[in-house]
Amino acid sequence: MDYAIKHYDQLLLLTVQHIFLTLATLVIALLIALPVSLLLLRVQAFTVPVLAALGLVYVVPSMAMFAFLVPLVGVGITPALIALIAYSQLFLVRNLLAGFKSINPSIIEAGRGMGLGSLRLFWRIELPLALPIIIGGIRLTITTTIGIATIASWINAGGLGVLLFDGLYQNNPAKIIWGALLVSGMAIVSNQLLFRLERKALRRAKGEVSL
Amino acid sequence: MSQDAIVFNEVTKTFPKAAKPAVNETNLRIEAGSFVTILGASGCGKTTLLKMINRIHEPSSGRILINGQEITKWPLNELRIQIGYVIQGIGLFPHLTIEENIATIPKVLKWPPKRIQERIDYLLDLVHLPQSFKKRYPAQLSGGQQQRVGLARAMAGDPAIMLMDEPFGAIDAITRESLQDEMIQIQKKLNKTIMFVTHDVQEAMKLGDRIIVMNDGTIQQYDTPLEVLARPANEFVQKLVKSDNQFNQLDLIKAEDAMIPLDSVSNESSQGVARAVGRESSLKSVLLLLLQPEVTVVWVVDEEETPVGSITWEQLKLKV
Ligand SMILES: Nc1ncnc2c1ncn2[C@@H]1O[C@H](COP(=O)(O)OP(=O)(O)OP(=O)(O)O)[C@@H](O)[C@H]1O
Ligand SMILES: [Mg+2]
Repeated sequence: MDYAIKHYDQLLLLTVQHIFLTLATLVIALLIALPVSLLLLRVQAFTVPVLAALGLVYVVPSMAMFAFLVPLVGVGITPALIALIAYSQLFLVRNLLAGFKSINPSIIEAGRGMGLGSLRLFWRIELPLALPIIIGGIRLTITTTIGIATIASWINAGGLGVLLFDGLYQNNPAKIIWGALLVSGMAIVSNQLLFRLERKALRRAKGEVSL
Repeated sequence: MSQDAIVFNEVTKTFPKAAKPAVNETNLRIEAGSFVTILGASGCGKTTLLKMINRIHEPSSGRILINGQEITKWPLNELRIQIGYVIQGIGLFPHLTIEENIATIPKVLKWPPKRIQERIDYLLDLVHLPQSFKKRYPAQLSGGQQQRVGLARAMAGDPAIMLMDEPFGAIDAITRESLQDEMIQIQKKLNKTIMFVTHDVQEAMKLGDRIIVMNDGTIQQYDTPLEVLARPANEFVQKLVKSDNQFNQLDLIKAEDAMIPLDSVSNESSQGVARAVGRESSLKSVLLLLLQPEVTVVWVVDEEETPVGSITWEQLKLKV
């Protein structure tokens, strides 16, 4: 407790860094995963190889990934972001695909057949219906990103991992406990929040919203 | 009035990798304001025929015209907005309320909100759904009610042409009959050109001004219900319409179409009891008379009660 009070400014800074790293990863990863998924939905043949490749990327140990990236782009936030975004693609692309594929084809055909333009069809019909599964993917992405981001401090990307590593090297249990507490707290809270959002989106997609 | 709303000109559709065409070298003229039903076994190309009209499928060859204009000349979504489409699987938007579902195309057309509201009210009345359903979601409706919403949604933009693919597919007999009656009412009232796919021979006969009988991607016969029944173009058509409930079919044939005209009737029918029916009476009523004891012949009489022909048991068996 004492530690937290004495170093609250550092704790706050590291937490903000961690949140920033996670959110930046999510936003950029989504901006990549969305067009990739929409493309894969058009060109079905690429789906299996792309998912297999993303699966391979996902199982590369994070230390190995960072060790591989540092010589290419140096240390700091850049290699961390690249690695985290690469890991995120598996869940995001997989769930985006599953989300859009889960829509009953009659619904889309009805929409197209009545003369809805493809943009309107996407925003008004396809996205809301795919949203629960997409949010599920975002939830997995955020929790794993929060976890892996701790390791990114090893390459000077900051975040709560700094506390954990420092604690280990300096044999300082307070640092380790506070680091672990904050990281797992973040993971649990975001998981819960997104889980609620997911359920709400599901109720909406099924038309079970009571007015 | 007898302008052609839809014309197929040598239209063939072969799906990629398919061995044979789903729709083969089809020529067809659908008169404006007519109600055409499409009948045929599963997989014979009924849906494909419809979906080429609103360009969900593109023909492999041939041309399709709407009101004399080739459909590829219209901007795609403009074409589709003019064609109401009731899809085989209903396809209501589950996350939108009933009124939002119906309002989809009026919103695209940027109608003022008041006009959209009036349209929704009108359409719900038309398909006999209570106004209180507006705020409900599709999942809160029965299958038959959902199909009515599908119908209302397809008519929302007031399209002159309606494509209906087994719109009453999974509905019980009673609801189905009331929906059929509503369709006939709607058609009379709004004078739309309707193409209506069904598996049900009775439904096709009841609703259609004309019937398209399809088999294996080819139109076997395109005729009025009576002609299809009385003069099936080939064995396939004959089997299809016969395999259905024959007793009900008797309802659709008029006595005068089945009788032996008077001049060719011999005098042998003097023994036994005779009954008389009007020209327009159905063969069903003739059958019921012939089933009475002692009755051997039914005379068909004109408006002045003068006999114009006769139907005997043998004659009836020949006709059905
Ligand atoms: N998108 C498609 N791709 C490939 N083949 C198709 C496609 N749609 C239909 N077919 C094939 O074309 C043929 C005609 O199909 P269609 O859907 O028009 O039949 P249908 O008469 O509507 O049958 P049902 O009464 O079962 O609805 C079938 O052999 C079907 O397998
Ligand atoms: Mg079909």
